[in-house]
Amino acid sequence: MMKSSKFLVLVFLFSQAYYFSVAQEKKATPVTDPSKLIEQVNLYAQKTTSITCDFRQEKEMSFMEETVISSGKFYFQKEKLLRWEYTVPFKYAIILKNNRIRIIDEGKSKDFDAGTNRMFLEISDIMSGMVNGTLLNSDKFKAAWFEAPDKYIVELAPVDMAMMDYLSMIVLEINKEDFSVDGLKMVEKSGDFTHITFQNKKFNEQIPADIFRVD
Amino acid sequence: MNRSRLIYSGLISLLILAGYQFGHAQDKVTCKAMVIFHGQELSGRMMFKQVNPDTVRFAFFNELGMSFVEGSVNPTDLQISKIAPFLDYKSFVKNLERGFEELLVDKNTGSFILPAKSPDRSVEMIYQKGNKFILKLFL
Repeated sequence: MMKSSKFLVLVFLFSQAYYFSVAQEKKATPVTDPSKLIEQVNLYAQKTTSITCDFRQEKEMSFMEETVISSGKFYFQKEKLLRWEYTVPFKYAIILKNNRIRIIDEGKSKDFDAGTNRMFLEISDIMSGMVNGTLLNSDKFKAAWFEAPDKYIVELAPVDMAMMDYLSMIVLEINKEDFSVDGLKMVEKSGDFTHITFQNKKFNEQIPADIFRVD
Repeated sequence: MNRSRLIYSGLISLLILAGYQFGHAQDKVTCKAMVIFHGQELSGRMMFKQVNPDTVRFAFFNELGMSFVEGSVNPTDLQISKIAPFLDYKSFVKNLERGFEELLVDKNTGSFILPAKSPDRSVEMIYQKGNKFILKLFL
């Protein structure tokens, strides 16, 4: 009798914890007129000349029943200089300088060829677009805004059929205080997703030119 | 044997079975991989996961998290569960199947062997079919 009541208490506690977490997610309410928010995000983008931060990436794979975690450093400098540098579990960097892409894989540099170039370009456009503010005004996506207690959420649904083949939605999590991007979720057609969160953000600091070197 | 003993032994058997399944579910390897298909080069990571003694699930995806192909393979068959549109060709799937067969199936026992990683990642496993298809696993 004692054991079964302990079990019931445990079930109750777990169900409450689950209910609470779901309720937190559901607290996001639609923003009917996002024009002021867009204005503030654009203002943040105008003021931002560079960003340096750490990131953590989690890729959910339902078929494999696995979450793949990686992390590293992110660098952005206006207008379109970008470096994604993975340090864990492998050393791998993607540098985007204007419209050139360089991959550095375990110390070996390579300029990317046409096949996946388009996909990298799309993703890089999304990355730079979200930090320089152009993504929210892009005609490639239809945006829906939501407000949660701790963040704004923008759901960007692609309108381009080719992009829909590998992305069903991009979700941006926007910081309520400085309007920078705290998180980015790329949802695939299958429902699997990659969630990237940004921490220790430093704005408008000088980034050494070597970081974006592609020659 | 009375009823409670039967239930008890049934539960123990279930636990042993669950433990066996769980133990096997932990058998996985992730390595760097490259596929060249009709001149198109894809690099990223390949994950293999043994789900039972005969079947291995695999996923090939790039560092940014975009999936190229996912599926399951056993010594006689390859099933695709997800594939990027630019790879969705019979010849690609057939070559991938041949590549896995060549690199990962034990010729003597006919069973699938998960590749072992080397400490300095210096081992390369390569399957090549002319200039049209190359599969490289960096272990």
